[in-house]
This record gives sequence, structure tokens and C-alpha cells, in this order.
Amino acid sequence: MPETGESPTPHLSGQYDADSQKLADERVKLELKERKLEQELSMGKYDVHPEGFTPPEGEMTYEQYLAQRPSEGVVRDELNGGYREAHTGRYASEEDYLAGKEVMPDEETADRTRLDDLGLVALAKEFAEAKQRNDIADKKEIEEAVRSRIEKQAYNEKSGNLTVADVEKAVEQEMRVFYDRAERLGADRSPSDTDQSSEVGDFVTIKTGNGDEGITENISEQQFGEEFDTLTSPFKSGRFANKEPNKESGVDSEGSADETEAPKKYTFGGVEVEVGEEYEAPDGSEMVSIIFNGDKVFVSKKLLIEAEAEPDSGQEDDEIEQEEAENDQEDGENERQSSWWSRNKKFFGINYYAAQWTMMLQRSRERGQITDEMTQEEINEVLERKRRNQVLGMVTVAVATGLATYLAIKGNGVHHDAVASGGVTPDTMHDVTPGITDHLPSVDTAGDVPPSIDISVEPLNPSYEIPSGTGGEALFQRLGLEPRSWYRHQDDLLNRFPGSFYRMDSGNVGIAQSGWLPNEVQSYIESLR
Amino acid sequence: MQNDANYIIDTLGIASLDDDVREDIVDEAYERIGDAVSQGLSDEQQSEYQRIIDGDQSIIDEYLNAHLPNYKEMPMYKQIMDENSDNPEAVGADKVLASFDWVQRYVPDIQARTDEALNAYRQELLQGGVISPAN
Repeated sequence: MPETGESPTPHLSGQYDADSQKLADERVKLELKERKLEQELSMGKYDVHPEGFTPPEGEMTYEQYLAQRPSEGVVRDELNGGYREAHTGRYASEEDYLAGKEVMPDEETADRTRLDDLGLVALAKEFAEAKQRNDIADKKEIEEAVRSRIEKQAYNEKSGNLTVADVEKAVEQEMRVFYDRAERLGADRSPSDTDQSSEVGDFVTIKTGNGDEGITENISEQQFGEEFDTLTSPFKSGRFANKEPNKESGVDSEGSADETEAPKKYTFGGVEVEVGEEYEAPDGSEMVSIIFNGDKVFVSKKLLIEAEAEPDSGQEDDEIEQEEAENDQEDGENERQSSWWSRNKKFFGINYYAAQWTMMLQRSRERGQITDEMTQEEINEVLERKRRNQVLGMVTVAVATGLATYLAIKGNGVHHDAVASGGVTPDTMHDVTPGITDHLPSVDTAGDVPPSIDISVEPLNPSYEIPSGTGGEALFQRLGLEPRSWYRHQDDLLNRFPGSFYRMDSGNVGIAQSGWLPNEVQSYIESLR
Repeated sequence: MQNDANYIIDTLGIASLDDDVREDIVDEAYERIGDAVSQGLSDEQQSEYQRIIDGDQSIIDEYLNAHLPNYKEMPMYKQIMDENSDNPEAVGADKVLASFDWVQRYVPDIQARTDEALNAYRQELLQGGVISPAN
């Protein structure tokens, strides 16, 4: 007899599990299809418009949306997730295929992926938006993502003749370009633009750096024209191309343009420069990028003067480089052999002024002294003030360290109150004067004193060579001074220069020895004129 | 007594830096010192100095005649003239002389302002990690 009582739970076959899983999958698929249908509906895919229909401003029809959608590259599939090749519609990779099956991706993972996958243009837009929202954390995160990407690219592409410092400098330069672009994107953005771009722009966001074959440049950058070419290939053009002997690594779609159209030549501060991209500053002024002294900098277009077009050839470049190298070498020789003021003539010459203009401009921008809001006139004022201060500082230090004071004292004995009130006191001047050659500064920073640095002073007047037996009155007469005035100065001269004069039995002062009077005595007497 | 550039290099403690970096810092130091000393100058004075270094000959002549009437007899002037004789592109001796004399005449507290500007700059370099306190 079978036992009676509660029947045991029936054991389900494996088929049930399989069917249940299938049902769950179908529900997910149904949900995905419903979402897709809803999104397509909201995007106007099923809207029927009369012929010639024009959507309201800021909107577009589904057909228009498809038309503006990129025909190549990789795009994010907003409906299903992941990335697909725009042309074929295939997933870009297995990872993207799997991503496409994710119904609710982890939020943190999605955010990280979002930044990693954004192109630089999109990042600039994100940065501009974060700035508008005053979202400091977001800004910082984007900033780090951009810097990381540029650094990675820089180190990957840096050639052997570039130092780490060069690369770091270039990265900073590219970061400034990024900030500049983000600033412009932020300024150009109206509220309606923002809405539209967040809907369309995000869709067109490009996947980069994932190692997938065939993934092309950021399509968004095409929409923005050429203005971001420095960011899409920052180390293929500009400063790096200027230094790299092999430019082949930089040949891309932009490179083909170079082949068909020779770049225009301009001079800037008397130096020929190559002009890169142009853009309009917020104040309406036209700005251009140039390569100057190996640096890529932005200057007002007004500062450029168009040079005569010349045939461009590699051989000619080589000749120019060789000539420049020779000039540099020659300059180096001259530099080593010149005296203090000759070495520092750059501070005074107009050529220096012009050549330093860009450098000053760049540094001033870095230090926030020059902003995009400033007019060219205001920028010029800042640069002129900087130059004046640089000269002022250079001369001030020379005075403070005694050189110029020494020179001036030797020249005419002038002792200015301003000098006395500073570090160069009458006492220190006395210290300098007697042992003058001992106190002459080493001119060269590196320590190799130029052979022609001797600035010992030639006698001002042959009359300072004293024949034996010459008295003070006669000396003054030889020098064209009033002979009797000797007696007004004789005591002072004895006190100052006891080695050159002596007290005679008569009580007057005589000249201690024949021959040339010391330079400091000559200088002092000259100051009495 | 030290050379001007060496004075800056020693004061800032940048002797061990690369030449290019050191040169940039020295240039920047000059500018900061100039900025510091110009704080004590009137607009007219700054304008006059600007015109001197810009090579405004009328101002240079006027200045030298007023303050250094015998400047052509000064050794400094003569030596610069000698050096310039075979260098047509050299800076005029009168301009150099006027600019030096002008600074000595009008810039107050030269040493104090110079050191103050350099010390402030050194602090920035320390904070920025460009140099270490050991420098």
C-alpha cells in the first residue's frame, strides 16, 4: 500500500528551466524592442510629414537626422548601447556587442567609459558644459582625461631628439589649446544649441583608443571643421612636426591637404613663420596659430605680414636650416666675445622686441595678464610694459650688483642719491673703486669669461701721464682746468688717494710719482670739471 | 660682487636647472624686478624710460644733455662706441648710457626691491616644486 498524506513537490524537469530562461530572454528582447520603438517614435521615425515640411527651429525630422548622421567611422548606438560602424551598422567589436546587450549598465562603469570614449571635441564640449554648471568635480575629471590622453599620445609619438621637458611643454601647450577651444564652445553655445547638441552630439560621440581596427578620427571634429586639428593630432603637426626629421608618422587626411596646397608664408617680427589654423577671438579679432621658435602660439593676424610666395622644397629647407645653424654658431661666437652691454643688447634692440613678442604674449596668457577679451591695443600695452620692466629689471640688477655703478663712477664720478639709498652705498662704492679689476663681475652665466671682457679704462687724456717734477697747478693747467683751483681740491685729493699724492713741506699737496695717474684719480678729477 | 645673472641664479637657487629653464627663469626674474621697481615710478617717469629704450633720440639727447653733459668723455661711452665701431647693428652707446644712468637716478631702494622680488619669486619656485629648499 502506498503511503497516504501530503504529496511531495513534483520535480521539474530541466526543460522547465530552459523554457523559463527562454521566456526571460524574450521578455528582455520585448522590453528592448519596446524601448527602441518608443525612442524611434520620440525621434519622429514614424511621423508622416507633408511634402516640403520644415521642422520648427532647433528641431529636425528623422530623415534629416539620418542624413546628417556620419556615413563612416564608429558611432554610439543610443538605442541598443555599444558602438557600431556607421556605414554597415555592425558592432565595432565583441565588447560593443556585449555592451549592446546590457540593459542597464552599471552607472559608474558607464561614466568611466563615457569619458574614455569621448573624442577631444566632445570632451571640450563636456568641459564647457561642466563649466557652465560650475561643476568643479566634473571639470577636473574631464581635465584629467584630456591630459592623460594628450600625454599618452605625446609620449607615444615623441621622437628621439625631444626631451621629456619638450614633451611636457608641448602637452601644456595642447592643454591650453583645449581650454581655449572649450572656452569658445562655451561662449558660442546658446541654450537651444546645448539641448540639441546633447541629443545629437552624444549620439555622434566616437569611440577612440580601443585598439579596434578601422576606427577613424572623431566625427564630431569634422563637424567643427579644422579648428581642432591640433587636438586630433597634436603631435603630428605644429611644434613636433617642426622638430621631427621624419614627418611621415603625421601623414593622414590632413597631410594630403598639405601636399596639394603649399602653406602661406608670413613674417612675424621680421622672422618668417608658417601660419596654421585661424579663428576669430571673442572680441572679433582674427587670430592665427604660428610656429615660432619651435613653439605653437596664437597671435593676432594683424601682426603678420605676408611674405612673397617662394617655391618650397626640402632642399631649400635644408639650406635655410644650415644657414640658421651657421648664424647661430656665429652669434654664439659673437656672444661669447662681447662685453656685458653687448651681450645684453637684446634687451635694447628692436629685433629683440619683435622676436620676444610671441614669447611674451604666450607667457602673459599663461599668467592671465592677457585675455581673449582684450583688444589688440590693450595686448600691445601689456607687452610693452613687460618689455620695459624686463629692461628695467636687467639694468636694476646690474646697478644693484655694482657693475653699472662702477662704470658710472669711473666715468664722471656721479653719485646719485638713489644709488646711495639702495644697496650700493658710498662705502661700497669706495670698496669698488680702488681694486676695480678684482670686483669686475664674471659676465658669462656659465662661468666662461669672455676674453674681451676687460673693461679697463683707457686714459681719458694724455695729460694724465705726469712728467717728473710736475706740480698740481701744472697738472690742472695741462688738463685745461683752472690752475688755481688745484688748491681748492688738493686736500680732498690727498685724503682720497694718499698713494698718489703727498703733503709737501710747504703744506701744499704734490703728486707722488711720475707716469700715469691711476684710473680712479683720473675719474675723480674728471668729475671736478 | 657678482654678475647680474649669477646674482639672480644664486639668489633663486636655480644653478642646477637646465640651461633653457634657467634662462627663462632669469628673464622672468628681470621682469619681476622691473615690475617691482617700477612701482615707485610715476607714469611720466615710466614713459620717459620707455622712450629711452625704444630709441627715441630726442629724449635720449635731452636726457643726456641735462644730466650727463660730458657723457661723450665717459669711459663707458667710449668703450661702447669702440665696440660698436665694427658692428653697425649694435645698440647705441647713448641709449645704453642713458638707460643706466636713468635707473641709478630714479629707481629707489634698488637692492631692497631687487631682493624682495627675488625672494618672492623663489618662494613661488619652491611651492611649484621647480626647486627644493636645498637649492
